[in-house]
Amino acid sequence: MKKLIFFSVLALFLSSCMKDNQTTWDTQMLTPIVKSTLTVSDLLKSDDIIENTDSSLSLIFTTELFEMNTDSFVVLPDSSFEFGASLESLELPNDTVEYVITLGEMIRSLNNPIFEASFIAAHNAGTWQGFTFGNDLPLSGQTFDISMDDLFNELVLAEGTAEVIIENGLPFDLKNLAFQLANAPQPSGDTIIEHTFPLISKNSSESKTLSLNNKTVLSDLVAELQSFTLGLILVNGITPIDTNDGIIAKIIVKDLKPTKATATWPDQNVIEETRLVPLASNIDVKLKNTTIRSGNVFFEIYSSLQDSIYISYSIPNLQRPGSNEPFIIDTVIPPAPTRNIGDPITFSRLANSYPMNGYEFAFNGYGIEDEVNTVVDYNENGIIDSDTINSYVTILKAKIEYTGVKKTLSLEDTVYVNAKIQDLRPDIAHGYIGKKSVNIGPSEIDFDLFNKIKSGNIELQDVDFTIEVDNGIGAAAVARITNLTSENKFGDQLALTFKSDNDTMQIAAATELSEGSGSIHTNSSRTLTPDTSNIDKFIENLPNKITYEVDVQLNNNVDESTITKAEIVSSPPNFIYHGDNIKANLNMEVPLSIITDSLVLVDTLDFSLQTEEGNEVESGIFKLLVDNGFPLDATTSMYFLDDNGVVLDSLWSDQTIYRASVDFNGKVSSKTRTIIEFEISQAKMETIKSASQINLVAGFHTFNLSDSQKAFYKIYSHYAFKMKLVGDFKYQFSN
Amino acid sequence: MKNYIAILISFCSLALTAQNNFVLPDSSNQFIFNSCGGVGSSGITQKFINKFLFPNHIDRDLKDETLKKLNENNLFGGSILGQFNLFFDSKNYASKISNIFGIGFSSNIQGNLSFTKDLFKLTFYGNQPFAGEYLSLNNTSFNKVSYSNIEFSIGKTISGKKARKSLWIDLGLVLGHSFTNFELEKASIYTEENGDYLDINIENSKFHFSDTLSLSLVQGFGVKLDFHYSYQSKKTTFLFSAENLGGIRWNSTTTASLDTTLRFDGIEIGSIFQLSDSVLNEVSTLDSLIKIKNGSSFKNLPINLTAYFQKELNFFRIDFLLRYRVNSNFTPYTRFGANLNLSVFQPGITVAYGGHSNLQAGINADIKLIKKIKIQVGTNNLLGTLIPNSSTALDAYAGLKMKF
Repeated sequence: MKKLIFFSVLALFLSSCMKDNQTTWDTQMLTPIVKSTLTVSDLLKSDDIIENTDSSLSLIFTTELFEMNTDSFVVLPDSSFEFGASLESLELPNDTVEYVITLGEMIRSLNNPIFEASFIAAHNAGTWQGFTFGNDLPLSGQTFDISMDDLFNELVLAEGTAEVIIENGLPFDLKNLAFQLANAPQPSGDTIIEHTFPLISKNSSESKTLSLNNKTVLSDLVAELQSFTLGLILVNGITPIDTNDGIIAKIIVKDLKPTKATATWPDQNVIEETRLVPLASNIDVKLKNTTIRSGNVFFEIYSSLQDSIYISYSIPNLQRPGSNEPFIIDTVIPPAPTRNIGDPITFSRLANSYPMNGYEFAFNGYGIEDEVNTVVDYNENGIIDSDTINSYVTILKAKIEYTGVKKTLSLEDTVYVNAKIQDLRPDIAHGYIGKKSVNIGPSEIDFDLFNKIKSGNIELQDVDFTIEVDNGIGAAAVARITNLTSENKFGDQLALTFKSDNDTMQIAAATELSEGSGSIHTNSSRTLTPDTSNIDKFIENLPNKITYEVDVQLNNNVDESTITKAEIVSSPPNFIYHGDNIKANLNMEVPLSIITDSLVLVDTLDFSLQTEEGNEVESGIFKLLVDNGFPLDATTSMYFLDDNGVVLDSLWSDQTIYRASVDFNGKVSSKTRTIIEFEISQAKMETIKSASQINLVAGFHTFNLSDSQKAFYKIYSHYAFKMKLVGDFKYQFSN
Repeated sequence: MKNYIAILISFCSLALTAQNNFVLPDSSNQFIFNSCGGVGSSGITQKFINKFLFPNHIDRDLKDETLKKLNENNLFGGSILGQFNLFFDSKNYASKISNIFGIGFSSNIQGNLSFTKDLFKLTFYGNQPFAGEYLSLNNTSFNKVSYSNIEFSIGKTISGKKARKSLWIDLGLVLGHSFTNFELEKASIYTEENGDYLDINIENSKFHFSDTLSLSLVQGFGVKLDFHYSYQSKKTTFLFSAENLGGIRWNSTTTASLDTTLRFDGIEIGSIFQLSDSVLNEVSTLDSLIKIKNGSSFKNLPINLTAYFQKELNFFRIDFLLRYRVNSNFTPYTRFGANLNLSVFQPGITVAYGGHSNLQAGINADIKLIKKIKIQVGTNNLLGTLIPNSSTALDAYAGLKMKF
């Protein structure tokens, strides 16, 4: 209803002026229009005001000074594992070739029909039928063609042995038996092995192991029993004769290690390398373990083998949480491009990155041996090694698999592996993170508490200025404020100085209940008061920005020589949790117990007095009724500005709103009313209507700072300017 | 609106409340046309009214002059009427009693205001000159109604040797066009000297009006009944009428009761320096602040009570009229008149008091062109033209009666 009346009155004011064919009359209307209350919050345009227990007010200001994240302090270095190797152990399977020469074949080779007939008769009778005699019978050799084409085309052997076994199944001794194995064709082919057995007794065997080292073996071979002598002893009716009996020659090739071969290769490991990889040697961190937030293994392989290589690269120290499954990369590198003899070596290449996010990385080196699902003696020293720090184990295996297809491999073929752990960012880390020092700044922070102040001076009774540090890192630190400067809008700078010359601040370490349980932050603070510093002058400079520079050093009080590997392993002195940073806030509390000396606040507000066409206040006298509840005078001016901030006109200038009365405690006892009258002519009204901003200037004054009688006045929460705009309009009505 | 009024006044040759061209059964068929219009006030001078009605500027001197003439409580009113009637009086020479039949159409706009001197001050001077004073708005009321009706008349006439007595009624179908009613039984406004606040007291007050947004000419239907009795002898005529007994059922009306005491000390806004935005934002909540009832409602028509007496003398004809309108900010109206009994042109004068105004003096003339046609023109207040600074009413009327 109140508003109804207001709008009724306002409607009367704003009803249309006299136009053509309308009866008009002039009225003089006096009415309150709007009112508002200006509190300290409104004056300072700030919500950062708190009420103390005695209802007095304090300005508070909080801003973040700096924040250092864990990556600033703990940098995990890249580490790499490089391995280049020729195929150290190409192997081919063992093989056995067997040949037989029967007694019948030997007798027939003599081309003696009588002798041949005698042996046939003896064979039929089962024993020698004739006269008894004894005599050595020399025989010429016999060749046998051997094809190894199913297994290989050519072997260039680094190592290898051939065992030649001659089994004498005859009832006669063999004497001076010469054996030879040579590449076909003969006689041009190279002899591979040869040997002469002086005596092989009847119904017995002799063997000889011969080296194949550095021999070249072709797939077509010729084995030859070059010559031997039969020690015939024929006793009529006694000596058993079976023309099917004979000499069996066996050649067993084994332990073949070719340097080059075109062969059908069986399954075999060609590389197997286990290494202990240290973190970079020049780092000052001593890490026990970490959980990886981000990072990857970059894995690059080159192979000149013309066969697929199956690569397995594992880091047992890098395990997936919960399952303890180690980090493993299984991949296949395809055969290198085929090349002809004399062509340069060609390589196949495989490169990929594998994320390590979420893995737990224990830097305990071979100490990981008992921390995998099955205990493994990685370094094959016969013991389970104890934990160490800053190192981890990598295992690289490369193998080829049987394909049934002949492929040329040689020990000159190489495989090169470059495995790099890079860009590691820890989520959690334990260990000793060193005396890392970080410099912050020079930086500046906006300080908008006094932005409205144009000129004048202020004196504060007290200032409480605190730098508060919230530490989420499990390491103590020291912060040294190397620079903290207050700069006001006029460029006046004032550096903070410490009366005790102690510009450092100790920052306590965060704690954790157990490894991985989380960081329990600690708060450390350094309070600056007028007693310990010039902080009062610092603030009375009315800064609009504060510049600062701070050095923070971790573990500054730690004697590194006392930190042992065992301690880091059993009870790591430091930890970090990503996101639990070192964060410093600047907290300021200024009790509003002040002396203001012509302190001028300026504010610019958006403004519009456009109304519907035809409903316009033409002119009038306005009154601003101000009930001042503050113990200070306020000298005010009000200007209208255009869009460009150019002053168009003023409404009033240098009108003083008189201070409220105060009691002997300096507390306001009664408000004082001031009436500011201002007239708006039609011309001025047009100017005002074109304005888009108003500029308010208010100068607050309690005492001159030089006044010996000056006193601090507290500002209480109920203090306010109660302002009311009253219109005293000449208005023309029409019917 | 004032143009409309002016045109109607010109067209109808206005009369106010008391022309003499009454329907009087006399054993003849009659066609009667009457039109009248005018305004009057108990305190506002005709000069002021003229300024208000006809486009002009009301200056300070005129306001001051008018203010001096105002009483603490004042009346202001006006009306425009146009009326046609056909009246059939069947002749039955065998009987002394004859029947009366008739049909008619009329259109009527009436408005009236009861106001205090302080309301005049507030309206025409504003509240600033009276800061620190209580301005009384007690018993302020405003009524305006506009309607048309079609009426059917029926009655009897008894003819005797000395006189003819007639009794008839009009039964009318009323078409309501619009109405407004505003009542402030007890109200005042006080402005603090510096304009710090306005104290507004309103008790037992209301406003009630028909749909202002509707474009329909007919916003309600109703019925009315008129009672008429006449006595006519050779020298004497007496007529009594009670008209407009009935009302209109308005289709869509708005009613609000006002009963409050409040102090208005400005709208609380966030920043006093951002008036425009803040106030405009408040406008959207205005409607919710008034408890308004909407719906159909019944309103009585303003009842007219009329007594007329006329006496024929040798050279003169004198008459006396007494009239009252119920619920119309109307004081009892009395008028005395005399006309010369000439054969064709019968000039006359009137003196009256009451109605919406005070003392009035008028002139009129009956013109008998032929035996069966009479034209009547006149005004009940010539003073409004002659001495507008003192007189407080102005009207004119015209009538035609034709027998056949």
